[in-house]
Amino acid sequence: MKKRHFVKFYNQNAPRIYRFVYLKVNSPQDSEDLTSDAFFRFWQDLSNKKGKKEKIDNPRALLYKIANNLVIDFYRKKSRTEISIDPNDALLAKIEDKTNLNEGLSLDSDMIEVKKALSQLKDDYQNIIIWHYLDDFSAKEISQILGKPEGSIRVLIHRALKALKKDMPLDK
Amino acid sequence: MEKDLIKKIKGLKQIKPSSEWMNSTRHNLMTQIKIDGNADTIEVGFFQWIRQPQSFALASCLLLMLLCGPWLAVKASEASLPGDLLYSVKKATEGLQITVTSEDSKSELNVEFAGRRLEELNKMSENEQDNDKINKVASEIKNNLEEASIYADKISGENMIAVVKKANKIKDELGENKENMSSEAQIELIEVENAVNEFNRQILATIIKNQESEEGAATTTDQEILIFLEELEDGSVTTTEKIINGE
Repeated sequence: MKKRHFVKFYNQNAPRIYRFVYLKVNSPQDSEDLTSDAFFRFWQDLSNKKGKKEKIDNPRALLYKIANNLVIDFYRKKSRTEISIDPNDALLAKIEDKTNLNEGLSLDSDMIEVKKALSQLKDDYQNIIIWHYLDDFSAKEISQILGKPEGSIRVLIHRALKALKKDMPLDK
Repeated sequence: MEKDLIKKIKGLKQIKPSSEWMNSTRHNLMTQIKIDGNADTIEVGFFQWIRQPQSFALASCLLLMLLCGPWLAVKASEASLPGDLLYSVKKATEGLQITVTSEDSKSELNVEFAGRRLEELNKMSENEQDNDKINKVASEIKNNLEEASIYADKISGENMIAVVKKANKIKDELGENKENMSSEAQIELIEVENAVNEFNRQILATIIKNQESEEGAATTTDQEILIFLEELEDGSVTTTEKIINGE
């Protein structure tokens, strides 16, 4: 991958990675830092693999894997209670977030509910929902990120959606 | 209901980073990559150039020239005549073939090359090339046939008749274009004919020797060769010597 290809790759995937990280850490500033870190580590990883003459089958899957590991490290360093705020407060924070204001964005009540329900799911289910329904990853691609069989991913997608439905206020 | 939920999930796609952050991060990444010394490409392994179409095409052409060049030169030299640029390639190839071949095939190969020299001789006399070159080629035919005689006893039975016929075909064709040749060249041709006769004698001696050692009747191949040689002795074949002497 040449540098110009990397720029194109960044332009296509940075908003998605940012969204993925944001939905996990609930902080615009941390999401920005983790996203840029993910891209830099992705570049370094490519360089290392080049040195070892290893082939990269799916660069996007590798990037998400790196981003996911960074989120895990992030939670290791800080306790969840320290970084997470109440989902309702988080929504307020989001609305006030300059990022979204800059884009002229406002989340409607449906999305606020989904985000709240999503944040209450366990990590695996959060990832599956984001990757499959937001980022349009196939079960095969998710299996490449998680290193699990494709069949298991299909089961996880089903279970994650079921869990989300259960956590949605209207469904309760 | 599930569709509604999925629709709501997809609504989260509205979460986006600011364009300012996107631009500044892109710039920072490019700066970091430069500092990191990763040059312009990531995949720069030894064989990565193969993925560059232009490099691959150039390398393929060079490889093709390297592999096919000598072969093409040899093929191109086949039709060359003495004095041509590629004639030395032709001679060198033949010399190499004679050197590396087994003793069983040396005689056959020499007769083969004598035939080639005769073809050259005929072309040269048609083109009225200078006499020195013609004399030299005629001399080479003689040398080839003399060497063929040396290894005549090594020829395998199944090849013997073919080689004998080939040698005598050379003898038959010696008379062509003789009018255009110098007297020196004509003398050389007589010596070539004598060399073919000597070759025939060596073959005959070999057959007799084989019969004695095996204490049996001559094989069919031997019989064929003997009949062929007898016909030659009877004078049923017009020789160059006879043509030159007006017989």
